[in-house]
Amino acid sequence: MIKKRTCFDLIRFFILLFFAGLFIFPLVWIIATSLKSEIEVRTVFQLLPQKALWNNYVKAWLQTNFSRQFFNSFIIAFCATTGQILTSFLAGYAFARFHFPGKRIAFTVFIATLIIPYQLLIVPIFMMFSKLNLIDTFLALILPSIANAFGIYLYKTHIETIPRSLEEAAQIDGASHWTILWSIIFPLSKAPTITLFLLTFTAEWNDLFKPLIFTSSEEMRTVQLGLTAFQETFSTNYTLLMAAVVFVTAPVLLLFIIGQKYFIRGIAVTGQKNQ
Amino acid sequence: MGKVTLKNISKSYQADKEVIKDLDLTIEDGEFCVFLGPSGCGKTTLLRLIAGLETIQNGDIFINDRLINDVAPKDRGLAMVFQNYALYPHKTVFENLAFPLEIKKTPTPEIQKKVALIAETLKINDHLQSYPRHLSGGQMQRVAIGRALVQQPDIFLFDEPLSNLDAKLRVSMRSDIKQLHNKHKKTFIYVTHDQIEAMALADKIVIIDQGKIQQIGTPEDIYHNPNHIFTASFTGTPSMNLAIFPKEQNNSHFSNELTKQLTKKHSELIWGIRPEKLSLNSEKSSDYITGSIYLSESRGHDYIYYIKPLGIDIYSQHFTIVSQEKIEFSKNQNLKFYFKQDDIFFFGTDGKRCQTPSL
Repeated sequence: MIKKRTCFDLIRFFILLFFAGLFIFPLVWIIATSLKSEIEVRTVFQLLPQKALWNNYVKAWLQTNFSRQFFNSFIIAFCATTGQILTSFLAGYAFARFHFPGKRIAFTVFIATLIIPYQLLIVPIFMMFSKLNLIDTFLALILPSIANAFGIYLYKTHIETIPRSLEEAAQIDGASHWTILWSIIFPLSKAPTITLFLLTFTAEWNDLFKPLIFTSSEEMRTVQLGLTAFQETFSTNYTLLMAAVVFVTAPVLLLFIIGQKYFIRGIAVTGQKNQ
Repeated sequence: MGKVTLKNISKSYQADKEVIKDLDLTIEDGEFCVFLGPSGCGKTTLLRLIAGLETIQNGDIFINDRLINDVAPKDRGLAMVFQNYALYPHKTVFENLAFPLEIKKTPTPEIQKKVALIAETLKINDHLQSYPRHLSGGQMQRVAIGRALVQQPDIFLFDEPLSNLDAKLRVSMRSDIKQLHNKHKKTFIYVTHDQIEAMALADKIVIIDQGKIQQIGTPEDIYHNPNHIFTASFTGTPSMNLAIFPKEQNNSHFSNELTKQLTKKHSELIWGIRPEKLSLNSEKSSDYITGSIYLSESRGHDYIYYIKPLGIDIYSQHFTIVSQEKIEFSKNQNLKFYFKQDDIFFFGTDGKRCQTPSL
């Protein structure tokens, strides 16, 4: 029995090791390439650099207006994420707790929107934004992401697991609906909030499509557009591009490391039934 | 002041199924009133209607003669202790106790003073900085009671507050709740399905079955004078022995005169006797039933014996006797169990008590 268990553990360990390697390798390759010289990248077939060129990071930062692009990306990702948390929490609470006609249909329709690819909506959204004079503004990049059915689903399933008696106790304690929402339910929804924050922030930070369509000026460029500056028509400067990729990826990676405990809990909680 | 009056209260969750049916009840100020009944009888719904957590379909609820049908729970002047404690998991014990006061915008020094006093009373002052997840069931229940006490309401509502605790803790918490009532002299409305708890705590017990009040009375009244077969069978451990009353006049258990008088009025009857009123001792009475013991249980201080009575059509699940002394018995050995006719209760087929005719 013990032998069987150890054998199984060993197999599991190697499978996990393989997948961990699969995910970590691109990151290691990016960091390693970012420290190499352009000639080394093209001539030496070796993962680690012969000599680490930290100066590549300074060069990459100066190549394009990264400080402005970081600021833009941060504003867009932060506002879209905060907005999405706010709308998802309120809608999720309504779906979890209120009884109203057409609730099931409304929720199904909301969920069904998840299967519509964003690319399909881009033309009507572009036309609408251009009529509203929103093209090449922050709002054009924030507004489309301010509500999302996945967030609503995440909060709805989580709030359904919170015992109703907590709200009733608060009600008797004298709390208003608004107080109950923000001082009882929201603090207890830490897991879905962090999960949604990580997912949305990453998606917005990494988004290339929307900034490409909705922005045109240099001032409105985001970090993902900034990365394209390293690709020229006939050549690509891989070392500087990889150095830029490292600092563009770093904030998201850091967020994931900090919030991974809650992220896993937030995803796991969606499988729970009402208590 | 905490007088509660319910007039013609009805509540249904589905159109054709009434949970509470046309119910009238008055709970006096300072009274300890217990709603007792089996699961699903509507007792918790009734409590929630008083709390304002459910809306009533028909009737009126008054607190101190003020109509509160449409008054929000927070404005009814009551506090509630929930079955699952309903402590806020993200708040410390102190924050849980302080929450109702913070909502009412009580000044911080006063909050600290009140919380400290309550924590002292309930012996939870060592846990004020702990989170509910670090507390035992008993401690959590104390915090829940504390959160109700800190509001100083006129009416306290308890929804099966001890049902999640182990037997020993339940008894200790029960006496603590009774002491709190004696100390504060406020109106306590308490829901339970545990009749021992109800008997131990109540000034007044309201027996509820299928959304209707079956009987209201003191614990002694309910036990010794049940007016319905449901009350008789629901109270007492073990419950009352019930059997179909024999129509033939030549039966050996009841006098011919009694049988004649009863069968004259009722076509069919059920008779019952409390298990402790049956005895092997023939000194007190000459009336007896015959039967054999097939199972015995020791409760330490007394014994419960399960009997197969001869010639009796049993109506209750078991026929038992409670004896202070141990009975030596062998299987299929017929014994005589004596009783006094005064200890017999008679019920009609509608469940209502029939008065025993004077013999």
